[in-house]
Amino acid sequence: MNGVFAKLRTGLAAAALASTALAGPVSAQQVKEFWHYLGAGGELEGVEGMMEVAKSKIDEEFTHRVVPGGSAGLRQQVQVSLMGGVPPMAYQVSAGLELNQLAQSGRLVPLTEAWEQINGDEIFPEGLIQVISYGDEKYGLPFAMSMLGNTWYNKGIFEELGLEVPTTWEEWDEVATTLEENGYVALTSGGGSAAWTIYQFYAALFDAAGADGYWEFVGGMMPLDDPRFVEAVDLFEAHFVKYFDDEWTGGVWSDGLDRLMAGEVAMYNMGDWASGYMRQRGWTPNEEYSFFPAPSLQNVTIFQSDVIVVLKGEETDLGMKFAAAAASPEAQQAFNAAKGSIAPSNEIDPSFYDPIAKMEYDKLVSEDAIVLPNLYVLMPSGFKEDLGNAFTRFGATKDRAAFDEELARLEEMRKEMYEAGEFGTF
Amino acid sequence: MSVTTDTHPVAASRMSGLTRKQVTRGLRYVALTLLAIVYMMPLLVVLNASLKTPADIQQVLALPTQIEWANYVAGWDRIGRSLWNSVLITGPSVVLSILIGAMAAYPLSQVRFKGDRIVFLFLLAGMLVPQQVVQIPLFMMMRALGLYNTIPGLWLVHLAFGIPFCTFFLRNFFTTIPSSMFEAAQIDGCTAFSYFWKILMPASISGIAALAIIQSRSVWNDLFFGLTLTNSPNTQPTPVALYTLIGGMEVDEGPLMAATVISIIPVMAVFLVFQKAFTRGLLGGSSK
Amino acid sequence: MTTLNPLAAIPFRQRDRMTYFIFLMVPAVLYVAAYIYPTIETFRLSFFEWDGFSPPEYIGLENYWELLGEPRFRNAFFNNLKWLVFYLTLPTVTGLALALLLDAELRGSVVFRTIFFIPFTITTVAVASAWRWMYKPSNGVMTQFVEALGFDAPNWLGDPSINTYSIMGAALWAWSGFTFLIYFGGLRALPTELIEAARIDGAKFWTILFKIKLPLLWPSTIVVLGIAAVDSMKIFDLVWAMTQGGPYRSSSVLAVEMYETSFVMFKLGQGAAVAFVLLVVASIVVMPYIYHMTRQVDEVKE
Repeated sequence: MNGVFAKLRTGLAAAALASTALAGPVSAQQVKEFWHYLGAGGELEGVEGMMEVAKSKIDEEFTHRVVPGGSAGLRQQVQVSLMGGVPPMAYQVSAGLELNQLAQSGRLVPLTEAWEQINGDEIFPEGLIQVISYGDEKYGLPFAMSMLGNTWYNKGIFEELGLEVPTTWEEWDEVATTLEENGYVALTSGGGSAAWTIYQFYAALFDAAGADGYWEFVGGMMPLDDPRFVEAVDLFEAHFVKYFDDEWTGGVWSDGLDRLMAGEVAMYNMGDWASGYMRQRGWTPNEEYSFFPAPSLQNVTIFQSDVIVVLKGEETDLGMKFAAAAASPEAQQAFNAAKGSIAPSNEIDPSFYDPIAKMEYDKLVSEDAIVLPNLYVLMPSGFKEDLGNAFTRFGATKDRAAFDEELARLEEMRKEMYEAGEFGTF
Repeated sequence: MSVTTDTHPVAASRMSGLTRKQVTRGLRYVALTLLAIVYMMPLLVVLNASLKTPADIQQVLALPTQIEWANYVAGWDRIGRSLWNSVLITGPSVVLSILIGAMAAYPLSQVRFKGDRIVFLFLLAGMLVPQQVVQIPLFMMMRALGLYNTIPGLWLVHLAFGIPFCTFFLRNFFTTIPSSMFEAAQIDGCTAFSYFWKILMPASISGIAALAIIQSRSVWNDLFFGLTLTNSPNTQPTPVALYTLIGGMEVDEGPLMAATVISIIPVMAVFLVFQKAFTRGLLGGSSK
Repeated sequence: MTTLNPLAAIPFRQRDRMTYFIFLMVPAVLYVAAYIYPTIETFRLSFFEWDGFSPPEYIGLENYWELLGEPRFRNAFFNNLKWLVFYLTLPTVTGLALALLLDAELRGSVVFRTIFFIPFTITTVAVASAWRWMYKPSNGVMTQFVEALGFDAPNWLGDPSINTYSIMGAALWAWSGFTFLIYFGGLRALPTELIEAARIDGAKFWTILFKIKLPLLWPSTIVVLGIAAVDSMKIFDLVWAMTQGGPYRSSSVLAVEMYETSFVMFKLGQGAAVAFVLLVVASIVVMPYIYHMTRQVDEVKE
């Protein structure tokens, strides 16, 4: 009886040793794949279009793979594949602090050479160049841009009430009040992600602090009790939070659009994927819906961008060729036409844009354009999620005192993280 | 037709025993039907959505304005190929994990040895390990064994990860088999192995059938291992293909729901096949 | 029934001992390779600061101290406890009730069985989508139903004070198919003579249920409760797919925190620490309970 158990013990110990040995180093075999999380409808169509163009330019076999689970799911799979020694040659990253940190880790191939070949400094907007540079090198080639800070509105409701698109905060308040008096939800926000409410705050922040202040905030250099920040919160409270309804907290970002299309909600501040969503559901851009920038963002474009990064390994050369091909005007057009986003390259012929995308494009390339990257993706993890959640809670509860209390806690966190060098420098 | 029994239960119950039985039976049907409606509701929502155009899909209660078969075409296009992979993965995985689980459960339920309970609890502790914990080491092991991105690799993984539950389930089940059977077999000179194979396993057929249903469902719906350990269309199981319908910002809800409906069918088939064994088998088993 | 198991006294025969040994070894080896080794690796990782790309940096217990200081982990842990209470009670009772209702020679029984079982077979992302639609604020099925009864429908998933319970509704629907299945199998296996005899003696339904059926169903109950306790600690998919733990982390659980820490915030070392804490907490909460129940099943046997 004891014998059985003793043998069992020895056996278990041996098995433990064996399995440790099995997990020893394995050689790196990069797979010739581009990994991304663009699996739904127009997104996938876009990637397939982009792949087709890239394949026509490169005389080698390679393919793409959809990884489920959004950016977190992709990150997890890339992680596992790196540890296991079969990473993809290239994958999708949202340009921001994550890209910065990846560059710092030394795992990415600098794409400066390819960048120079395609004349990157000329064809991409300045604000975008800033977020894909690290030191003297470029680490990502952008293939799509999405714009934030625009307010989508139901044109039918505006026409019914004879409302004009507001260009000042006074007009904004008048429009919102009229909408509320007529039984509409003037403005809603998005549930699900911690980001949707804070995205709307950018308009207020820019108004109070300007572009320099915006960058200061990104770098963690603006205290949360700075008068400019406090003013921004005041503006946000007066022009946004005040009008939010109380249904959105339980939904996801697209629920606001469903309600807008159902004629329940009149205005909704959301990224421009809102346009693709409504178009796919049968609405005609600029007829049933359109957008206007927040009063403070008349000539300001706030964007986020998806870029291709290339991992170091045996297939680095192919990865670089692929990234360069994906940045070509044909590939950019193929992707963005299908997905309904904006091509970062200014070499494309803008005629394929729908009226909404065309308006965004015109604003982006206009003479006095100010182009700023999405603040949220530029801030360090840990801080931004807490800040985003604080804004969501403020938007839902409208409790300024609780919000101020939370901001005081976050200010402590900001100080610590700033001193620890966790904020990025762009 | 059943008005008399339904509307006058008191009067009915005063009548013969047979009629009272009919009343309870009637009430059972009423309760079951109501519950079935409640349980069907979300299913109908899924089915309804799977037939709707993108424009309609968010109007939850409304019927489709036009039937969108395109969802099924798109859903099939995205998961069709993976269904066969999933069949190849699920079948052997379930058989093997039940077999290995039964092997562990047998000594743990039938014989006493020092530390038996500790061994049992040690195996059970595996159920508490979150999947993410094992991901990277598991990946490396499978690569080292040359089983990464292969279907037999997934058999091995599902087998290993089925051990705690199958052992837990079958140990409890084996315990209900009267120990008089074991004693009698021992006295007859039956070996431990032949008792396991010829008496215990056949007598447990209903439990094994129930376990087969549960394991099939769990292997069939596994996303995590499929995602970690496969990377090509020849090996990718259905849930991985299904989840890719949820993209960065967009979700193809119509095709997702259509693909869900398609992907339920094989598990339903397994259920219908095994449920006979598991309802009838036990009646036979215990009357011995 | 109360006689001691005579086997304890009989020494094993040599070859049978061998059989038992092999029968235990095969699962044990696989188990160690698949569970023990990875868990040790994760434990090691929890002492490092690591973004998954740069070289890891040893920081001792700091990941653990940080966890203790964060209110979000306490909130998540508290939600896990709510899930524990939920899992142990509602699905168990529901499954048992469904099984009792169907435990008769009924025509169309297989149709009802199938209806109660299907939800269990549906993949979590589809369960989440279906229930998001059930809970939609204005036109969701649940919302309309509550409003038809003349009440104000709550913001099911958006109100921090109830959203965890709303997700539990979806879990109940999906999970009771499992408890039903186990209990239904268990009920069909009960010796009919015993129950018939009691019935002839004039025993009432409830007496038969509590005095005869439930004690005999104890092995099924152990499976149901054991798995429920384990799942309540590990719950992730459904919460992540329905609310991502929001709004503002109100519906979060430990596994969601673990995932978010590792792959949204890229703190893999700290994510490993959360995983390890989750494992330890689950062991402390669940293991004594499972141990207690296995003792009871052994007593039933003896």
